[in-house]
Amino acid sequence: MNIFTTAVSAFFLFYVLESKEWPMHTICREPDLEWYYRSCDPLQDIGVSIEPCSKSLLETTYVKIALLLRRDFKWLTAKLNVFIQSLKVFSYSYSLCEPTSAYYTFCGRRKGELVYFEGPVKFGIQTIPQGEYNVSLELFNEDNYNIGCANITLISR
Amino acid sequence: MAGSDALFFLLSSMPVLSWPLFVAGNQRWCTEVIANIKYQCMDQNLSRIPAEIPSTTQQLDLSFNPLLILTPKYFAKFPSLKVLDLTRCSIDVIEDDSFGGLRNLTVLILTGNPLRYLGDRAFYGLLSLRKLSAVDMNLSSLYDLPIENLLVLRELNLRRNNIKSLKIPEFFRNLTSLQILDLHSNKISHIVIEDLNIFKEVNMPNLTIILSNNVINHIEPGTFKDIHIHKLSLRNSFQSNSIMRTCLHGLVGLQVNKLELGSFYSIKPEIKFEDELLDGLCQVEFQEVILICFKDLSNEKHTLFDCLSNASSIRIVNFDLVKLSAIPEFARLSYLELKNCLTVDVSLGKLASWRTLKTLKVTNCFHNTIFISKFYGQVQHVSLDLTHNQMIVNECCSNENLGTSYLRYLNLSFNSGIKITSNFEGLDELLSLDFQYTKIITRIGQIPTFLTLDKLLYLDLSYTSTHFFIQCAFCGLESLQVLKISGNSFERNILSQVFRNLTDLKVLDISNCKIEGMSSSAFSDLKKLQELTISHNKLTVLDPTAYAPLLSLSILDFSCNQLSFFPENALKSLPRLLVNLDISQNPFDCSCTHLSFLQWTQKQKSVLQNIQHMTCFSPSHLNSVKVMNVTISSCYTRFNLTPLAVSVGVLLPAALTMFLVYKCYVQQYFRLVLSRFCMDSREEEDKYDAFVIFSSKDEEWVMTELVEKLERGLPPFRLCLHFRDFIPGIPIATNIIQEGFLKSRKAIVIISDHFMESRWCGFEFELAQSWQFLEGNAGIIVIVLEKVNKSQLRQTLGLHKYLRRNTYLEWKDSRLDQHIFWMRLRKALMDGKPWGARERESL
Repeated sequence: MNIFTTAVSAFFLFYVLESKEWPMHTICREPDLEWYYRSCDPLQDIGVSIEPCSKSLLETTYVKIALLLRRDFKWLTAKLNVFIQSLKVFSYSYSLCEPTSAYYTFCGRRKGELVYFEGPVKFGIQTIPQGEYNVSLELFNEDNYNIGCANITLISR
Repeated sequence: MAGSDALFFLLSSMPVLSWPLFVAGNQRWCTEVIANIKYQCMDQNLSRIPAEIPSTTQQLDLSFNPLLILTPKYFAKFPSLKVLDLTRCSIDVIEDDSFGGLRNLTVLILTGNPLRYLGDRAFYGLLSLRKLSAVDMNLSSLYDLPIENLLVLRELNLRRNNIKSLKIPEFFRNLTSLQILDLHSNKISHIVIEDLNIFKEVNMPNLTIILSNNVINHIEPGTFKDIHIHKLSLRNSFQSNSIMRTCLHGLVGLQVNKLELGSFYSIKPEIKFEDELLDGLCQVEFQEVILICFKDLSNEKHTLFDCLSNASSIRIVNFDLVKLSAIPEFARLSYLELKNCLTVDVSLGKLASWRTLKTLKVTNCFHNTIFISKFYGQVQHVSLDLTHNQMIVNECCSNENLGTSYLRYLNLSFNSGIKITSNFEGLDELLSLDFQYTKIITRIGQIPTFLTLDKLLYLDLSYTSTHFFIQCAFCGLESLQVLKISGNSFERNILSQVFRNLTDLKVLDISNCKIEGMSSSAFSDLKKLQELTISHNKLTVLDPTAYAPLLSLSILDFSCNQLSFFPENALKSLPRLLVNLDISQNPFDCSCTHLSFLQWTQKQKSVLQNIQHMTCFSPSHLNSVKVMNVTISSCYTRFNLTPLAVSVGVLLPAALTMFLVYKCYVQQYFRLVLSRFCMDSREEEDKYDAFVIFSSKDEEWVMTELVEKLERGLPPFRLCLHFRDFIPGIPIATNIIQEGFLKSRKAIVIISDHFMESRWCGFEFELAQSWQFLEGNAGIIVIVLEKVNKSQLRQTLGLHKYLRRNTYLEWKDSRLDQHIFWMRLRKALMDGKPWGARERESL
């Protein structure tokens, strides 16, 4: 009995790993459309909001993103990938900040400062087709270090 | 006991032994970036500096730890510190002399600490501090910072505080080295005449003042009079066009090298190009102006740029500009950059043809770039950058097409197409030519085009859809050092000659050119080549003679080809200076036939790049196995030792375990069961000399012969007899074990026909055998009382066998035999009898 207890406790001592996953946040939930996201940044949870919550993208859609910087950056690149059942259907990358032409007010911010982006986003389509989409949004600095990261789930009915 | 003990220890010691390691692992809070120099302890929930940091540390990152209060001499243990990062350490109190002893500290970052108290002498002793970052720290005035002793301070970063006034304190007089005063995102709304008096007395020509993202409503005219600084940044500082216009008039008398005006991206842009907006700049002396993020009101503009006429450099970034009906005479304009134009008026093209212009950059202006037809720059060292414009250039490229003979740098990359109509006549000065990702139509690759460009150092024709037909495609490029032609194609037979005479070439990129084989003389003139990229081609074999002339080569990229192995002579002849060799993503053959190649890869681990993408393609059982993981040793022996090793590895511990369990079980468990009955009888052990196992039907012989002779003889033996010594009220089995075996030294078994018939006798005999086995000594004395039926003997389990193997006593009728019988029996019973008892009993 003693041997067994020791063996079991030894097993748990060595194999109980620390699992750190940020909570799933709901951006909006309507009968025909649901947006959820989870931060995939190992260091922090981030804030994302999308308005209005509508399948129709004819109106301008406003996106807000807030996060605390854990690294300095001079260059900032946003990378967006859209998956339908792990099949990549859309990929887009955009340079947000360059040292010589800081377009956004958060460009050039340093570690410890808050980055807050608020602005309209054009999707290039009029309506979101039916389906479940996984969107991964990542922000990289010039050293390819992940500044911010969110996995967004979009369900359109 | 030994076996089970060992097992138990093994298992129980695992956590015991590893626990200290486990704890120690947790206690290493910081990452050692450079041993004894640089430590990273970010976000470890530390409330003080961990003891593991050595005193020699020069760079320490303690950000995102709850340090709360800095007390005097807090960092005195680290006198060598040069960079200290205390970002978001929840510090609300910094006491006097907190940084005492940090004479070498050059960078101090205090970003995001909610400061309530800052001692007047908090920064004393920081004799070398060059950069102080006090971003987002609730500071309400420049007077809040006691930095008068930071004599070599260069950068003071005070972004995102609550500073309401630009009143520069008197002690800034001491900060003569100050280069950056960053007041981005503060609450400065009014700038009055006495605010900058210090800078009128002390000249600071290298100072940059950033006032962006403040809501400035008024700048009193005269505030900046006689002030000479390097740069003034006013982005998103004015809420409307009218405020901006009046505030710019307030800059009267300022002398500044760079002036940055504009806004940031916002949903509702406030500042729009209109006449008179920039009129205030007429009274400002400046060299460079940067106008960034301006919208347009679409009304006619006649005088917009009139006050920029003395600028030598103009950058206009992220803007709309239409209906520009007039531009002024630019006296000194030498640099013009238009970047990210959304809409732009054709007349801005006149700027491009300004005679003094040395550098013209028009990038990402693809809606309206046809207007740049000719570039009239008539000064030396001209450069022209027209990238990312979706342009189609119909005539290229001669001095007549471009309007200048002094062009040194021409970049037409990332456009739609270029029609090469001339052979770069009159562009002898050209040093750099970049056409990458722009489709080239005609000439290049078909006729010798570059014959006049003997000064050209850099040529990039990557992904220009060029097919090189002729061997003399690069003739004339005598000085060329960098040639990038990836993503094109070659006529099959020209590769042996096409790079001839490029004797100064240092970098060559011919990746993704559908090359199937490299001619042995292709690189024969490239003695100075340092970097060669042949990745993403279709090379199937490697001809070592082709690479032998590359004596200076240090970087070689063969990735993504069809190479299955490198022949032995290639491995030997690969240039010895190689620092980087990439052979990843090739379909390698990892069979033993290429043993020397496999051995070589493992030896060259430090040189090889992207090792994780070096995988085997064949043989099939090694498909997708990493080349570095292939076990070469298996090639040395004929039969595979692995199954044997595995079976030995598995069976040996299993057998050992079985043995231990067996020993443990039989010896200890059985003993435990037995001892359950005799927990209290240990002191009564050896109460009897022998336990007599016999059938009740032989009781008469036992009583008359055995008891008579042994108990009343000399020395007397004490016998255990069931009818006499068993305790009533206890189960027979318990009595047999407890009274019989455990309290007796020996067992006497009386065998007769009656014995055979009795179940209890069989049980007792079997128990006796087990008992003897466990005790490990001869404890059973068998007496055969009468001739027993052989067949019956066989039926009693073990007895027949026992009699065949062991000596036993036979009871006979003759007196002599009986005498010998008693002698032998007494001798057997004497064995193991304690001496004391023997003597006591014999007395």
